[in-house]
Amino acid sequence: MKQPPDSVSDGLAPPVPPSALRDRTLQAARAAMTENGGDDIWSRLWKSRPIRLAWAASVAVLLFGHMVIGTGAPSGPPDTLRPVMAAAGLRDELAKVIDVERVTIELPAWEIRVSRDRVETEPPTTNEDQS
Amino acid sequence: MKTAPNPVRTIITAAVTIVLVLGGLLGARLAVRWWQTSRLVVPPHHRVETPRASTASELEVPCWSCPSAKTWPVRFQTDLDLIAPLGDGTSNAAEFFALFEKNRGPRAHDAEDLMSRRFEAEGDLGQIVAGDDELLLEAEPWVDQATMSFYPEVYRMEGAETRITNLLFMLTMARSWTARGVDVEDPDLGLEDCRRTIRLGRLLRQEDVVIINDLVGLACIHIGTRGVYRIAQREGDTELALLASIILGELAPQRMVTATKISAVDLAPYLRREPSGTFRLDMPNRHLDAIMEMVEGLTERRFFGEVILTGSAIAQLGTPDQQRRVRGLLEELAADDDPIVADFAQWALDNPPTDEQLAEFYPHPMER
Repeated sequence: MKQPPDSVSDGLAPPVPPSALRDRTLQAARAAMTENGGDDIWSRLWKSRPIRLAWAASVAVLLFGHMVIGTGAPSGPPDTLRPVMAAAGLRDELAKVIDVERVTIELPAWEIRVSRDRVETEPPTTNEDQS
Repeated sequence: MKTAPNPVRTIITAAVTIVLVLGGLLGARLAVRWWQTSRLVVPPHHRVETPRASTASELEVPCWSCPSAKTWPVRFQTDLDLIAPLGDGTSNAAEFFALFEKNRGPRAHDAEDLMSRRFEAEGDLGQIVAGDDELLLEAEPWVDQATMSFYPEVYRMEGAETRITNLLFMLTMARSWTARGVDVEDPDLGLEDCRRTIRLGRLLRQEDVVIINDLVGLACIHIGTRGVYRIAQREGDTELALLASIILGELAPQRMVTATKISAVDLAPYLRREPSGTFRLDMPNRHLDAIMEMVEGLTERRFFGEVILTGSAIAQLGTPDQQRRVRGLLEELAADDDPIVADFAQWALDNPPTDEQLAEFYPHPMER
């Protein structure tokens, strides 16, 4: 059986919030948000200290990785082709192996002159055997 | 309505891009590095035959001082298969050894580390590394390959800028294998090490492009064969000792003929550096005649490089007649069927040597 409306309990209903409260609250929230700089996703990323630190750390790690790889080979001139006499003249360990010595030498005129001058100016060597 | 670009968004996008680019580049470089090295750690399956036993009756002593030797190529007359046959691996051993190229190879640091681990061997062998050195072991199967070809498979022919491999690294390996072989009690294991050294020498001489490679190859054969001789002597194997001594006897003549050919084209005695730093060539025509005559009879490709380098200097500094003659020679070589010789000669025609290059080529005799 349907009960008639109870006029007594009707009077006990909670009061309705003021109709302008919702608008005022939202407006205040919007104002507060604007005061904080309007934190959209980009702003939150921009302001986040952990994210900044993570970015700096990852860049540092990647740069370090590049440096390590970059020193994979020593930087210096490569060994290149050159005449054997020149290579043998480098006087390194390998030169002992590849130095085949010049077999014959035909001295050009200026060399002969130098040699002759040297002979003329140098005093005769003393030999142990003076007999 | 067009909105104004958000500067924060732009900065963040740039920051993320930087991380992505740096990461991508690092990944790519690591991949290249891995590709260059890891794929070459183990060569494909290979086999090395034991040399056929030779008897004293079938061995001959090549007469390098006989007149007939003048027409011989600067090669062993004794069949080196009798002492150390090459392996049958199908990879190019040059690909492995090029990794250790000085200052350029992706594993140049490994080669430098190996050099720092060296110590003086007993006797006159020189600097070696321990017999169980990791890199020494890693290189072993590569010497069991049938071929070693650097040009043009590994290095391009770029005239005087043509790169060469790390020969001291290879020489250290040769000495170390031989030292280990001579030290080990088991003669079979010892001979195997010495043969490995000889095989490295044979591979280095195989290509016949660079004289220095050939001379180091000759040195490797020398070192390995001396090891074989010592083991044979210790074990009382006179036939093997005889074979080794015949091969050893062929080394000095080959170096001598090489020296003669190099001396024939050497310009150093005729070049002089002026105080201003420029060069002057005072070369008699008969020296050019000798060079031309030598080229006529050349059969070994490696000597052409020496002729071409010399020719490029004469073409720049010789008398007008010498320049004309040598240009003719270089043009002839530039049309050669062998692309290695032809490319090199063409480079010489196109790139007259600078004073700086001449100073590198002829450093000592002129500085007086």
